[in-house]
Amino acid sequence: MSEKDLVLDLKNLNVKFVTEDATVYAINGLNMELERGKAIGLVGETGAGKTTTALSLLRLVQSPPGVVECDKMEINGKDVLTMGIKDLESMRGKDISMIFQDPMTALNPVFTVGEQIAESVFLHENCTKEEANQRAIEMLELVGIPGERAGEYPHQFSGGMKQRVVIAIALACHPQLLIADEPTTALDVTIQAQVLDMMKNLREQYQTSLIMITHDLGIVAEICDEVAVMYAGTVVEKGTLEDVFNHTKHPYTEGLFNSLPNINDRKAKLTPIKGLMPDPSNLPEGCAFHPRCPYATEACKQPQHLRQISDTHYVVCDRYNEPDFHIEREEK
Amino acid sequence: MKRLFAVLMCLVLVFGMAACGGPSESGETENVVTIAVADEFTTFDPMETSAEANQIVQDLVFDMLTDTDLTKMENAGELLESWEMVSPTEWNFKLKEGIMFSDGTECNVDDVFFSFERGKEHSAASGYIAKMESWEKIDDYNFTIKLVGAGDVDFNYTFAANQLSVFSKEAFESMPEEDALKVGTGLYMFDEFVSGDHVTLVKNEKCTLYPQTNVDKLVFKMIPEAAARMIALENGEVDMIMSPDATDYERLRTTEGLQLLEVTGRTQHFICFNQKSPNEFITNPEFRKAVAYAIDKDEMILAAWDGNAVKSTSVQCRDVEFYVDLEGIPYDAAKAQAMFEELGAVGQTFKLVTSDAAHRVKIAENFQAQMAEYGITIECEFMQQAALMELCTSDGTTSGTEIIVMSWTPGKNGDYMYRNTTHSTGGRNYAQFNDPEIDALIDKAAGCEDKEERAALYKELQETLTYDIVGWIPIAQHQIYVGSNDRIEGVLLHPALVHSFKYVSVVE
Amino acid sequence: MIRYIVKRILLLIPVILAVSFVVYFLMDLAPGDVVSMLAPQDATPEQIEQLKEELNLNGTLIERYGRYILDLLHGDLGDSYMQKRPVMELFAERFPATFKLALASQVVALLIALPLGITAARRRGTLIDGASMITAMIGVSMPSFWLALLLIILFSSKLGILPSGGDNGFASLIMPAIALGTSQAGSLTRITRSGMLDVLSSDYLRTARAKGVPEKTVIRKHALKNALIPIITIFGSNLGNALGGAVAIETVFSWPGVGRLTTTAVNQRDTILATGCIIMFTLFLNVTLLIVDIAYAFVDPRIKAQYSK
Repeated sequence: MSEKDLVLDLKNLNVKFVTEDATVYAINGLNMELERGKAIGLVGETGAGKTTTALSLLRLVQSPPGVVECDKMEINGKDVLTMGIKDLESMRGKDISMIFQDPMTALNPVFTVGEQIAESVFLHENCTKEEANQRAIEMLELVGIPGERAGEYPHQFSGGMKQRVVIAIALACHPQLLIADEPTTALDVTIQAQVLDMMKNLREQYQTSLIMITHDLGIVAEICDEVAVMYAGTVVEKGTLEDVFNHTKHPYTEGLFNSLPNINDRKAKLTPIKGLMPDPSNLPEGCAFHPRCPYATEACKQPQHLRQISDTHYVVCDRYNEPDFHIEREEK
Repeated sequence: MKRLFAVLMCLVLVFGMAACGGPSESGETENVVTIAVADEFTTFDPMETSAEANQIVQDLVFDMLTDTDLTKMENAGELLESWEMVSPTEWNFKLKEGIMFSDGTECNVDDVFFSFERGKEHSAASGYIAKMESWEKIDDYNFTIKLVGAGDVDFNYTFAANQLSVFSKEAFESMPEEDALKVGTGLYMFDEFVSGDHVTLVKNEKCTLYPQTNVDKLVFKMIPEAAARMIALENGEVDMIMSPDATDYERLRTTEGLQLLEVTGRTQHFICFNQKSPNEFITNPEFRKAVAYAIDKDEMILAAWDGNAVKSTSVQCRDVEFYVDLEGIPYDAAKAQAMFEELGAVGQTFKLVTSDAAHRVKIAENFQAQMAEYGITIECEFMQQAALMELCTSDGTTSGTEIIVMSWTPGKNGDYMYRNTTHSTGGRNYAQFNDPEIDALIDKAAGCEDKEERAALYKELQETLTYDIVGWIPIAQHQIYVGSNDRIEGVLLHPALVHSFKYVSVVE
Repeated sequence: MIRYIVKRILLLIPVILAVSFVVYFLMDLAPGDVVSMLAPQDATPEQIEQLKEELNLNGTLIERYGRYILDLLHGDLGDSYMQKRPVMELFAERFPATFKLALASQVVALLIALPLGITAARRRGTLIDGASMITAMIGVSMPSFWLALLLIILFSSKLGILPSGGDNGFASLIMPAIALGTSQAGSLTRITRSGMLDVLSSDYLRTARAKGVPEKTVIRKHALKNALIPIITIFGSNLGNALGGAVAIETVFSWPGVGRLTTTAVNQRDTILATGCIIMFTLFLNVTLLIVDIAYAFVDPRIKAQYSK
């Protein structure tokens, strides 16, 4: 295997939440590798476990009730699993940063935006308070907010601007890896475009690796290099944009594409995936998707295996053991 | 961090203020005697108040023309050398010579008359002044007084009222009233007053009326909680405590270094009947007599005061002049039962009202329990003292009261015992007496010059009230207790709580 | 902000007038009157009349109340019936003691409630949470005068290291402050706990942690400042009420505060003194609440913005 410069190396992540009533299996055997400078889209419906995955990387999963088990978790070459609290704290915000979904509640209402950005800088960089404040103003300018507004409070900003502040905080210390958890979901479409544009530019400027968590395949197409499709706590298909969009392999991925409305064919019927996401405390045996899968057979009730299609492309579906099996969307 | 700072600032503020508050303790070379009292001292002016809490302190600064000699328990001259009753309406008085005020001036008749004039303006004293029609100076130490109406054969007692303290005319003319009120003939002078906390007196070196004492400072500390007073005494924080809790009597008697002083109080506790009540039983003297036979006073005394009271057999207080030790209506349950049955009182319900003071509640409840044995129901209602006073002094025909548990603390003279409580014009006529014969007896006794005749009149009054009318059923006079350590001596207890500290000294 | 403050101060006037009305009328309607309490036992009817004159008690209730209000508007609270001194003077003599005790007891309450409440919130559902809340509830359930007596017995009687009562310097403040503060700590602890719980589940704490802010700082800086609003509210109202005096504590510790002054005034039907004390209490309570409301503005910028509208 070639020596890849991995900014993230995650093997066999399992996260469950143990409560009095039931145990919720949120993440089941998830693997992820990300090369430095690349952007991967983590796609899936709500409840697939995308946010939990991101939190696990930062070791921010509440435990109890959460139980995190993992074979390997390395960020920027450092072993996150065995890290002490102090090292973890210095890693967060510096090596790896996260942008959360809801900008309205992500900022502390009683501190100014400048203070909140400067805090990150002051924590991780060896500098004076004045220097940190200066950097905060610079970051604000960078995300398109006038520097004079550094002394204002979050409630004085609109949703889109709040999200920019959040991005400014996340990027203040130039992290190697940025996790963006549905950063534009709560914003208007026009603002969405602006924010995405800005993120692209910043990525280019700082060569930040990115995990973009989203349910929107369009965003993935715009900003990512690779795609990982998640279902019921595990990655079912992963590959480059070309691989997944044009050589779709997993029936679930096909279902996602099929449920997108076609602007060219407005009269066509929408074809959603039938059924609902499984209850994570009561997952189906074998392939978690099989109850909803149009291609399901008895074999699908057995534990599934990873099948490498190419260097960059793999799928988790044992039906591909049969030489003739293919899905409809194949080879578009 | 800012929060911590804010909290610290608060603490500093509090400490700073706490350090500022309160007087510093006196030096070790001074002899300070501290007395813990239960009620608050409120005013320096004897003419503004009749509360014992004030009088006990004012008595050390001011003197009256006469006062009760607590060693002999009789009225004696304080500023007066002697007096002579020419007739019930004409009296001659002679002041002691050489009595000095703390401002250096001598006490003479001008000061006495000035005080009388001042008393006219103050309602607490004006009643006494109103008894005098005129006063005339004969010389610096002699004067004569004419009394209104029929006069008063006991007028010397009137001068013992604390409200008739004698002030220094010169002081009032040369100083603001606030300061003039601190000039007296007494052994002590006012030093400091912190409202609600303490009042301090210092020795008056110029005093000529009393022997000098080795006490330099006398502090009256206000400690409203009995348990706290006891602890302060045991700790040595105070030398004497008023009104100790009954549960502490034994402890005071037996602990080394502490003592329990007592005197029989001149307070008559009684059960009385509203003689103007529409209830036919209540207005029937036979029924009232039956009730008097029915109660076991010993049991009641045990319940209310743990036995620490002297049973009363006559309506009159024991140490009031002309007291006669009657046998009284004895406890006779069988006779009471027979009388109740004959009267048809069995099965009846009566209302009892009294204040919420602990001993009165216990008397009421004990009475209720005892009467229940005869098949008579007593409904008890307890109310605040102020409300009770208003109720019981209002018109008896409409007030709705039937039975009342009350008390009365007279002066030493016989008239004080009956004037306001038993005379039909009296202001504290709880039992609603309205008997012209009784009125006549009271008035005649008050104006009677001949001692033997007076004694006979008061005897008749007591017998009629105790045996025939039974408007009051007297229960007991309670013991008054004071706790003390043995560092001090010389306190004289007063049966009406105006204890005298004039002769207190520190044991050396 | 200034306009807001001025508005609040102006609002005080109708409040005080309303309070004076209610108290004055209630005192008058209560059975028993000050004359029978004040007049000597052997007073003649003439003396009683003179007393009424002296106390300015002539006229109907409306007339008397009218005279009272007229004086009040000139800043004159009148003279106490029983003590014959100006109410303002009496109140001013006793108030510093109450103020000291109120402040000290609230500080004690804070020192107990904050750590207890924060710990309980952070360890929600665990034994420590239960233990903290039980401790707070014990404090609330204990009658303050009972705790006071226990403290006196232990520290004054048995150990002899603290004075048993009175207001003489710092040493005598300790026990009353603890006795009063402990019983106040209960409500403050619960509010701290629920306020913190609310805040602990906020997204912005997650943001702070994701930034790498150390956990202690997350709690002390990010969380606590947001949880302060309800805490300040309860602290303020407790302090305001404590300024009215704590009668039980004042009695047991012989603390010369306004609580005893007011209660005695009511018991003795000293209408002028009682009304005056209650008016002063209302004034101080409202000023305290105003200060609390202004404090909000410094804690939460959103509220500051509201005030400036």
